[in-house]
Amino acid sequence: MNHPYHQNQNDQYQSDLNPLLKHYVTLLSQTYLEEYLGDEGFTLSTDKTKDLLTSLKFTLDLALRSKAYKKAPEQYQDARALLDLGRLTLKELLYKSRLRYKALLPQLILVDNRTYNETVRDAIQGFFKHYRPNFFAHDRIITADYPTALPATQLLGAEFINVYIRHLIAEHVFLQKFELDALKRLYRFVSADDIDVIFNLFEPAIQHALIESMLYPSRIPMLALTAEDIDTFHHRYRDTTYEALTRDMRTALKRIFKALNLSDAYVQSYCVTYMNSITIKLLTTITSLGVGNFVAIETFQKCAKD
Amino acid sequence: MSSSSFPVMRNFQTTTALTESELYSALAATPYFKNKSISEIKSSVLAIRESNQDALIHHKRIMIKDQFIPSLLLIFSESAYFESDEDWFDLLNIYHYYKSDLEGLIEDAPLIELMFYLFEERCEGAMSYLEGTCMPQLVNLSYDLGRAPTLDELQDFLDETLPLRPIQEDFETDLY
Repeated sequence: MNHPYHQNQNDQYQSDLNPLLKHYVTLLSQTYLEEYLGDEGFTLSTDKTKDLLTSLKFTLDLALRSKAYKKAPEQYQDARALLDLGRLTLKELLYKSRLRYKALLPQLILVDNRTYNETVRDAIQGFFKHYRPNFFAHDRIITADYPTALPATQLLGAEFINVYIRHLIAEHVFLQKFELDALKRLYRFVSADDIDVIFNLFEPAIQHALIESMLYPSRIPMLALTAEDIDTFHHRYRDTTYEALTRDMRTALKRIFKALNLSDAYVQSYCVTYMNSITIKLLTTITSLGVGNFVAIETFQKCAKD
Repeated sequence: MSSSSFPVMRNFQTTTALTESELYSALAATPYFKNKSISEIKSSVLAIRESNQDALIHHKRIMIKDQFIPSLLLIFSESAYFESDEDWFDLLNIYHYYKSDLEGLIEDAPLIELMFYLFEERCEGAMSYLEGTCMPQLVNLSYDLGRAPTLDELQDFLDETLPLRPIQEDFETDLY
């Protein structure tokens, strides 16, 4: 499955402005800057001008990657029409993001982690309040210190917030399948200071669920591994190959989807992409006997010591 | 002094419609340019435009619309305190420095007018007093308000913070 996250990245770098359009964009830049200044402004700082032109480029780039442009590019040969399409695309993205954020709020996990609460509960609302799509479309507004398992920070403006919220939704749909106490227990092992340390809530949960499913295929994952289970896992997979591990992980993930009733295609796609991104990490961790940074295994190594 | 007695808040839209020759004719009627021929006005305007380019580069700013120089010229050439084209160079440097410092709180058109009020009424033509005392007060007030002050607000603020005229500073400037 190809997750939209990767699709997005590829498109972003492929869609460059063609020479004719570049000519129109040059003409449009002056209009765009004048529009920003209004009737009473005549001058701008170079920094502000740079910001505005980045915003213009981002808006046009967004238009070039939109469905409407791909469907009928001949309608947008004029750069002004392309800018209008970009602004419309931004509005739609913002509208969808707001709706998705509303849907996410009731799913948030009741943990005390500061970065999680400050970013997901407060900062995202700040984004919607302060974002200015017309002239600072590329501005991310917030630092989004809470990391999602698949990063969204290479994206800009409304596109960033849209993907960031979609990632959060996928992660929370997954997390909601577990008991809150089981999650809290897990996070206490991730870090002794699970309030101030910055970590993603989804990663340890899916990693534990994967190992659990690989060890106990018939069990519904409930994040109930023991230190002995991790030892068993080490022994079983220490001589494994990348291909064999990938195959077992895929099968385990399919079982998890079924056992936890995770039927949403986007959530499944998110989990598969994440799993693919950690296979090497898991292999390194197992075959080098703990030298690596696979959160789940590190967690239980600490647990065993405790 | 009430805001109604001060000749500010002009219609800047008119400057966009002016051709170069209309601009020179308009300037010829102002106190600063009144004894100059059109060709002298032309070369003054050219020198002022060049000074503006230098000031823009120095303060890392870009001129987006051409109205800036005509607007500045039409207002400040009404001043009785301008003596030479050097004064324009100083004025442009002060202007662009504080325009950057204000970070967009005041747009160019109202800033030119507020600055002219300060120069004429509060500084009585003392450029150093404008630069070192009055403009910082305008910046402070704008940041306090989070927007451009009205002329009345600026007058009230200065009556409280700068009740004295710049005689002392003029004296010190002359002395040293």
